[in-house]
Amino acid sequence: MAHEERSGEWSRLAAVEKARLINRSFPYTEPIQNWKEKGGKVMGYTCTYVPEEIIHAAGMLPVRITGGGKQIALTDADMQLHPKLCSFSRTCYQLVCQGDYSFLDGLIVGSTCDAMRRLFDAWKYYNTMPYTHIIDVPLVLNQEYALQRYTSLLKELVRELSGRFGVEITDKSLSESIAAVNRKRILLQKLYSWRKRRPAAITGAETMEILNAGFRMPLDQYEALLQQVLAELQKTERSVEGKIRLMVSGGPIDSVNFISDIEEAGAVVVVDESCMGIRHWSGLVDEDTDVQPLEAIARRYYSNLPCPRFSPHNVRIESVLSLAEEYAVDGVIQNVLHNCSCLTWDGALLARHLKAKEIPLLSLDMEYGAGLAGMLQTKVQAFLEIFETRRENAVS
Amino acid sequence: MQLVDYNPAKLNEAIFGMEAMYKHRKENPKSKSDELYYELLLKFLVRFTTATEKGNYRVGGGAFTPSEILAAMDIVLYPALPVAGIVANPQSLRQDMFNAALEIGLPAAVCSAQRMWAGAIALGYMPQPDIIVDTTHTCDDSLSGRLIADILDVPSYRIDRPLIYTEDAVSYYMAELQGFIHFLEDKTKRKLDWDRLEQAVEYSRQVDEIKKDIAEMRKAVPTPMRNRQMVSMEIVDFYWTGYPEAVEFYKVLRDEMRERVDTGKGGIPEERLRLLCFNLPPTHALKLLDWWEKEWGAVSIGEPLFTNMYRASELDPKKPLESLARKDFLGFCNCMYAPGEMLIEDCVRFAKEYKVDGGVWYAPVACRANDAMIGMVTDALQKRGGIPIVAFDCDYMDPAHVSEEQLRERTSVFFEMLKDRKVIRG
Repeated sequence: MAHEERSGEWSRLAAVEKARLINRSFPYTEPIQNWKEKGGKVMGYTCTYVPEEIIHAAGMLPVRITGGGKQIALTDADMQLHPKLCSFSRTCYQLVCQGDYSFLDGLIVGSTCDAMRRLFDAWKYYNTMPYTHIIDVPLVLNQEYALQRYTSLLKELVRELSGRFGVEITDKSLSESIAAVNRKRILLQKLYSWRKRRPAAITGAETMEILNAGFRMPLDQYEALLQQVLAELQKTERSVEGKIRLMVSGGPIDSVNFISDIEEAGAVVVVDESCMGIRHWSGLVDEDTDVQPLEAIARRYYSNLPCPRFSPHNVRIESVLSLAEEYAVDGVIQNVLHNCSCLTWDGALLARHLKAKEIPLLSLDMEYGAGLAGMLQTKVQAFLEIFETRRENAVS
Repeated sequence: MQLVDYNPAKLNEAIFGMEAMYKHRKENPKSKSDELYYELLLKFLVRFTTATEKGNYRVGGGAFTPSEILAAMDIVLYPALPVAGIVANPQSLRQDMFNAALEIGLPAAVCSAQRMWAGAIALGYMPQPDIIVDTTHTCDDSLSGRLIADILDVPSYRIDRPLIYTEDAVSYYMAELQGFIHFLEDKTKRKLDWDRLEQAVEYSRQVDEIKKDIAEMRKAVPTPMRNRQMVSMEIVDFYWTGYPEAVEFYKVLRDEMRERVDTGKGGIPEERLRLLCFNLPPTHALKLLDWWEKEWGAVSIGEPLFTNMYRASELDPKKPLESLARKDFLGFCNCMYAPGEMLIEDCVRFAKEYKVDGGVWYAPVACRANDAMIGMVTDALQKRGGIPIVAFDCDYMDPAHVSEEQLRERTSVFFEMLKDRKVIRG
């Protein structure tokens, strides 16, 4: 049962309810509809390494392509892609095939994993998108030549969009877009500071609802939504008491149900180390006017919390451990997307390092959009009992 | 599970077996290339097993380590997967290796090739590599390197090869290769010999030229190459890239093929079906290739995902790093890590130029990036060439997934259809 079906008024935060209503009409949300009706163009993107600033500077609405955090029948995707490709990529593909994303004017993919590059190949081959572009993201960190390459790939994207859509993307428009997206990031930073508190003031599920809405609405409206939720948090002095603090780590996690299922078992998810979570928004673009805006964008995206495919891997491990400490997590739940090689290998490596730091970990192999039911639910409950037992022992 | 100390018994057993096979080939020659193949296998195994006692390093892991660089530093390549296949004798040991891999911390739902070699090391059948190297080419399962290195507590390095071949990508990749060299120099305290690297690249250039000739000759009807020889080519590529041994093997193979073409002979007595073989059959069922020939007169005339048949690179020994970078984009298995449209166009061209009757795709379940192309390639070949393709789920290393017998049955149905189709078409 979906979370909103279980409790009449799910969140007492009006902003979260607003976000939920927006997300309900995924993917063609009301804000996107309004945008299109005014003649605006919408550019989909699949990956954290596709800079939304560039799309924004082109005068388009950046919309993150996801599967809506739900499981659906994948008939076309299984036939045209392959059943062994991850269910996230197939769900996105299926939605495009079904026409759910027909409002898109194009799609930009980051080549950050096998599934993404094949998704791009299939979209291109079957001509399901009016425009597609892939960014051949360099996957090595801390190298100036890699940053230079990424910058030149972004310049290529700017040229492509300009040529294809007849728009002028100038340094000025990029600077304005940087400022706008940075404002969003700062507001999200503030939101996450409420999650850092002990106890946290907002649940992971509520936050996920807010995050999801942000992928499906214009930036200025999203800013207003974030400001509303921050104001409400300030006013209500909420706290999520007595809960075990968890980090959820993984890939494309945008299922509110998954997070709320964990929280209903007795936890609060205080940080989401994932593609749509903190990895999406953390880190600002340098707005120093001495720095070329496109170079500043490249540097921010390149230097951000790395995804599992990047090397050297110690950078990622250190960043995850650092997050765990910053958010004072009691433990970590890994959502390892089934058939995702990146997350599977990364998960096993991360597990070793979390174990070395004595951070309790539960690793769940899950299909995209799946909630917790049956054995998975039992595993989470058993995992959380570890902390209860520890607390009891500490008290006695 | 604790790692078991390396015991050379299994590898010594493999060498012993290889010596016997080589002796048998010498006494019962089928072809010079066949004999040379076993000689080179044996030679490599001896070099591999004696590396440490000779003060040498063993570096590798993945299939696409830039071997010429290792050759120029007198480092022995560690081709983890082929060697694991060799020590898995009897084949039932493979399951032990898979289980051992799980016990040392490898996840279950990943490429069995990675699990197999890690498991072989865990059981002490193979020595530990001194350094593990992996590359983004060909797929995400190469991310195994860092985990296995962490478990074994050895240094690891990952080389990022861009997806799309452009001049900027070549420059980037050259910087990556330079970084790899620095890393090796730091870890081994050896300096790269640039003259030797030029020599290694020159050997690879010669091999590439010969491969172009071989690719062209395979167009002939009947085709002059036997199915097993595509495996031999792959193995020699793994073991001897950057060495004169690779040149010698390819010259012998080419000359044999040339003789057949000149005399109108095929690699097999009666060629009846000409096929694209997208992936090699599972390693535990390579006898399928022999069965193809004997039972059906079926030959592979091209392996779009594997052999560098149609995109030979222009190697210049005086520009060794640039040459190696281009080679990795254009050479062996280039289509596995490239835009899908490249594979599609190559297959369509292949089908026309090589007079293909059909295609067989042995699809390992964990080869997700390749498997995701089955639909597109099948669609393109059907629409643009009228060529039918069949795909069979299998596992590259794990015989428990599907047996050789089951694959024979399924392949037979397809071959029967192709045969009838050929008769109808006249």
